[in-house]
Amino acid sequence: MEPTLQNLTLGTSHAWYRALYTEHRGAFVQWAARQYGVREEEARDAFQEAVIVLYRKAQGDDLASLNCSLRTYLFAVGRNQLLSRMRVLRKQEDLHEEFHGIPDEALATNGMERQEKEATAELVRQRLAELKPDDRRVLELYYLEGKDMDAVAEALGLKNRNVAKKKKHFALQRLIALVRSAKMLLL
Amino acid sequence: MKEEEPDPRLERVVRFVEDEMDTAERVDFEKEMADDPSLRSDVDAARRAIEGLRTLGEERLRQELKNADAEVAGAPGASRTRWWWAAAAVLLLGGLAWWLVPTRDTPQALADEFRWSEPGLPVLMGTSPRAMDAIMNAYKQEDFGTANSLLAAALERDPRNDTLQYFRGVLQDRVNGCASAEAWYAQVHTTSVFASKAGYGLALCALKQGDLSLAREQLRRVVAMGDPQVSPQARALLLRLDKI
Repeated sequence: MEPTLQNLTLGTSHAWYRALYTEHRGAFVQWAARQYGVREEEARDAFQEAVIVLYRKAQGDDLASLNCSLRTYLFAVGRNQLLSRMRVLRKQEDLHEEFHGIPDEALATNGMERQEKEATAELVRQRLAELKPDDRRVLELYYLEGKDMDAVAEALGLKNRNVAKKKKHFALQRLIALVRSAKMLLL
Repeated sequence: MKEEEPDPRLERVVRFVEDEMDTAERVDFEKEMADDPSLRSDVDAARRAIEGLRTLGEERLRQELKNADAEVAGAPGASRTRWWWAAAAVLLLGGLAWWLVPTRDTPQALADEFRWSEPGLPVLMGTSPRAMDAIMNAYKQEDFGTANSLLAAALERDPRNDTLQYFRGVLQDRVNGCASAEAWYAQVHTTSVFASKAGYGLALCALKQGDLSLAREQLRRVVAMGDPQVSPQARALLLRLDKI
């Protein structure tokens, strides 16, 4: 079944998101240039973030209640991305003129959240490297490459999706045990 | 935790955070969690692990989208601006100059110029010291003797560990050169997260030995892996090799 906004799931592959991006990117870039006079590169960045937002929402099952097409959703999120960036730029200019050297609190908060997220990702990246190759591979296929359980089973030569799911569970337990024992301390 | 002995407590934690419990089981689990700080701590660790995995998934997808842009930029007929013909003319002239201007590139010089400097893994401090942390500490302080002996000991205990194999290759490369490093790089399996960097190391070794054909073959593999750190470097090196 062709994915729609309402039935996107965790198992929708990266290849599908990439195809979705390339299908609508050109139209978004033209639309953004007409509406906001932004450069192609800026519009592409905003549209990439829109696809990432869609991907993130699909992991959390947050899309089922939305009643619009994928294209409409992506354009709306991409537009918000562009407007946020334009607002941030304006705010930075204003701050520069009026409050020399005082950081924008909202931006600092976002920065801290991003840093925490990056630190967690780095912790997990390092712990992943400590897992056995089989454990690491099953987690990579499922979480990092967005494969569904059938595709994971096929890639690992397992009997079926249930076996793959069990293997993923065990691998995740081992990763959690490693994460649990670690506290991050930047060298 | 051994593979054959899954932890039943963590098994429940995983089912909770992955939203695989029915309502009754979930309510029971939440009650239990309210009275048990260590269970809450396990749930927190599980959420962090999954959040980290998903962030890594986002990073990978973001890179794939950027690669899609790079492919379009490189495809013929991609540009639709009114400057198309002017750009084409500039490219043509640039291309002619590229082929006509003599180059002083040698395989050895290219291998030096495109050398990849492995920064090492982040060092994390846990409740008990970890072998990899000690190795990385020594590596980052350029105490290669200590790093090498720690790696050798760790590899004796776990000879199939690809992280250890790769870093043994990196260390051998820095201390003794390619002759000692190649065998370690070659052991890193193609499914390893270090496969692209090990492949890049092998390509540079081939280049230093003047085997351009092998170097190109290795570099093409590295480009295909789409590693954000070494694949763009491999692509650029391939272009330079075409001039030799």
